Amino acid sequence: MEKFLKISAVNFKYNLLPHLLVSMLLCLAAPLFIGTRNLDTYQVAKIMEAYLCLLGIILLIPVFIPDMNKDIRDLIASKRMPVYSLHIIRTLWALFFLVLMSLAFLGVLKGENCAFDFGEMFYTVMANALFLGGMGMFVFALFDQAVFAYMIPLVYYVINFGGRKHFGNFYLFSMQVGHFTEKHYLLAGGLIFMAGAVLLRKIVTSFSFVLS
Amino acid sequence: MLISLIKKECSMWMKSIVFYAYVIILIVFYVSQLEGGELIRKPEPGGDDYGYIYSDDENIIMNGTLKDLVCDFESERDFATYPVGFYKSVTLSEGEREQLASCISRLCKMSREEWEQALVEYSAGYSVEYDELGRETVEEKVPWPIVVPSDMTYEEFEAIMEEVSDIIGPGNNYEKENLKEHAEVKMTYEQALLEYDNILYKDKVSGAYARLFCDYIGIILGLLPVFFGTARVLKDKRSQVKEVVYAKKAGTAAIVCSRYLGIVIMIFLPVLLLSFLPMSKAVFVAKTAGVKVDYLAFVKYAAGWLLPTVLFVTAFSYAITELTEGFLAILAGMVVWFTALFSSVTLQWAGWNLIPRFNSLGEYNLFLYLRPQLVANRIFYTVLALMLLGLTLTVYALKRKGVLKNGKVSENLGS
Amino acid sequence: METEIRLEGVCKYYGKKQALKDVTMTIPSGMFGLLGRNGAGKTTLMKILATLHRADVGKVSVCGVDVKNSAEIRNMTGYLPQDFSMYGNMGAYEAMDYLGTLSGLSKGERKKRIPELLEKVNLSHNYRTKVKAMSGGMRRRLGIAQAILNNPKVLIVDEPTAGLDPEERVRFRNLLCEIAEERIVILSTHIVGDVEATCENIAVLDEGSLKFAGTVEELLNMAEGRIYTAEVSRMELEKIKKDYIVTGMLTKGSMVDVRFVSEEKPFEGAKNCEPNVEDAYLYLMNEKGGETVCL
Repeated sequence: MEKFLKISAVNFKYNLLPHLLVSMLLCLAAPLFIGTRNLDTYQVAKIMEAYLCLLGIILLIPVFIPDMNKDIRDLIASKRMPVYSLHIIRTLWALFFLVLMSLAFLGVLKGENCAFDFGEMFYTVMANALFLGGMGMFVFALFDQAVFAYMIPLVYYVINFGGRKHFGNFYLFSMQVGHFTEKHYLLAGGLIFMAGAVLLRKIVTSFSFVLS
Repeated sequence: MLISLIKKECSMWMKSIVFYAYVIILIVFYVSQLEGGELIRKPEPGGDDYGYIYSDDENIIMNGTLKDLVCDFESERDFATYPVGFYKSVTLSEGEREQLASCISRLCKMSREEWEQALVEYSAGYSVEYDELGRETVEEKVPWPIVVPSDMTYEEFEAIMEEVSDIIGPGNNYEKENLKEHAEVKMTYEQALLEYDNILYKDKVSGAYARLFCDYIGIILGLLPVFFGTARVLKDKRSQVKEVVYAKKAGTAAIVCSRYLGIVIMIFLPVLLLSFLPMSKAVFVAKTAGVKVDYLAFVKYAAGWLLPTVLFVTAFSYAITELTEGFLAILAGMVVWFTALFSSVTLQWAGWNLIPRFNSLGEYNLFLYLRPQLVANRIFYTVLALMLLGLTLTVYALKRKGVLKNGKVSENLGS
Repeated sequence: METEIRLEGVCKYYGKKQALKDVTMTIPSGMFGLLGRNGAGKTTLMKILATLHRADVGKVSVCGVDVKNSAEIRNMTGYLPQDFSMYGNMGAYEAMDYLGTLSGLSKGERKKRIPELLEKVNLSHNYRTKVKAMSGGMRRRLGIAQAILNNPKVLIVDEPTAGLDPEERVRFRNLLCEIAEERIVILSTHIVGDVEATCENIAVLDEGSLKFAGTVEELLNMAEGRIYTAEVSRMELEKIKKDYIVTGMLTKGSMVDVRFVSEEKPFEGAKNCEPNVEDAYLYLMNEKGGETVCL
């Protein structure tokens, strides 16, 4: 437990905090850009799918940023605690804050007299956020380039605005036209991306440590 | 030295995964949005649908706007606004509704009681029926009663509408730029033929396709250069090369400008190369119609329309990353892009938006009308880009002299 | 044209911490060693000379040019930082070509210089070897090659041999000596052996203050007659360690050959011997703790 708390505290202070602040800014800035009062289901879905889901990118991609430096990566890999444990702890904290902020945002919308199914919208935002954030994590693990890791999910998000034609069950904005099924695929895809990313990072780290 | 450094920067980008991802994304975006699009064809007489046009007739605009305003007011729902493209509902207070009612009265020169009564009578004689295919048939026993009197000038009308717009709030449908949208009328054959002739002889065909190309590609260029600026600055940080470069003879201007121009060139060249695709479409249409195409249209439009976007976004991300040495520029760039794209009032609009829109093939006269604002807009963003580049130069020079501790502004603020 | 570096009353602050305290000295042509503990201020001084930091107080001139004229200074200096690195995916030749461009060399000059320099630093077979694949020694050699690309009058080398194996270290020292002909080469290090092997003149910094500036011989003379050796038992060794500055020890079974500093003959059996630079340095840092000895 002590180790877990120590790792969490260091992650929070040196890694997660600035990204958390940006996430909070995104949430607090919402009323400036978008209406939050008297919205119907489709309007709330639009916010979840096209705005709030960006929290996934902001919070999940930084999981691997602390060990971008190869020397630091090797040093951590040389320790007793496996590197994937570190990554899992960081991911869990990112998910925790993602869930917390999504719930809070949805709570505010409910308070502003918006009409929607709470569970459905929560599922919607989590599916999109995990898919985009997980995609970013996976790209990061594969290419070890943070800028590229931000680029791919953001571009995927942008291209989705062009319509669902090429995306099938992985279309991000399906709820705006009343389709919910796609969210299951997105959530599953996101979880696979995240798991794949942690595993891939473990392999990359072990391999480079062995070589050196 | 500057030219050599620019060449080196370009060759560095040729080995970068970010560059190749950009090229692929550019091509995919083009193919998914533009490929297989409409070809310009000569309209045939006797058709029943030549599309719609927004009338320039002030009378049609005034009456169309008034009708929509009355309907919105009477529905008692919140007013729909789109300050950044997302729906934002505005609930007017009782006082504000009174003010709005007063504006309507001044527009139609009837008292509130008179026009509300007229509306009741109109509603009683109004019906809509749908056939099996969902097509509607509207029956109006009484013609629409609330109209702008003939002695009202357009200036008076605009002044009252400005008050209406202020009451509702930003992003509403009654802002000055949006008034024409209430005057949608069916195009006649003659109007359609004139439009076609303009494309052939004034636009030289390629102009029309070039505008559409710039409209779509501008969307993606409002975001992608952000990754280049960030990647370039962080490359130095990650490779621990800063001090070695700082100690070299090359001036700050040469180093920063070569990196900046290297990015701009590597972003813009693929765009120019991609423009050959819609250009070939334009050449085909021109040949079929027997007219000469303007081969330089795409270069002119890309340079004047798209290049300032690239200049600004690159300078923006470069400046922020040089200041913060983190990924903030990506997130900030995303916010700027998002705001720019979704605050477009219409799909044919420049304003002071980073991403000007012109999402239609042709409409040469409308483009001429919007062109002065577009030119001002592009100059504005070019100047902003140069200012941001100036900021980057200053920050880099200070870091190079060790004035900024560890190269980060934030660390200096703490000491 | 003067070939020396002058520092007058140089002070540098990092917040409340004073990294350099009123440093005044002249660095002549040839190999110049800058010795000191970690945190003494050596790197700060090097960076001021390389125009990467600005002195808060005092004047610095390099070959008659004030360091405030950074463009001119960068034109005549070459700098090898402590943690030299380049873009990982660049090959050696490519890295040199890029840095040569930044140094203001024309294409023709680079084409001529780069093979010569890579040959000089024994990297002529590594044109395409990527920087990330190079050993520490190879990277340092690449570092020195890039630092002399523009044939600088002054070469500033910050802790170049730290982390190198003995063979690499000797190779590097020899290379620096070759380069030092008709040039000022400032070598900062905390490894006394580097200075002893290569430098005519040295300065010693301690906590930002200049403790010594002069020739190696002058440093040695300071410690003349004060260095003793003796063969003692392990128990006696503990007492010697307490009472004197021990500069060397060699264990031989139950006895220890110990080398130490003393103002006068400490006991029977202790033999006076010739001081080396390490002895003199340790004597300076400990016995002469608060004094500045500039001859």
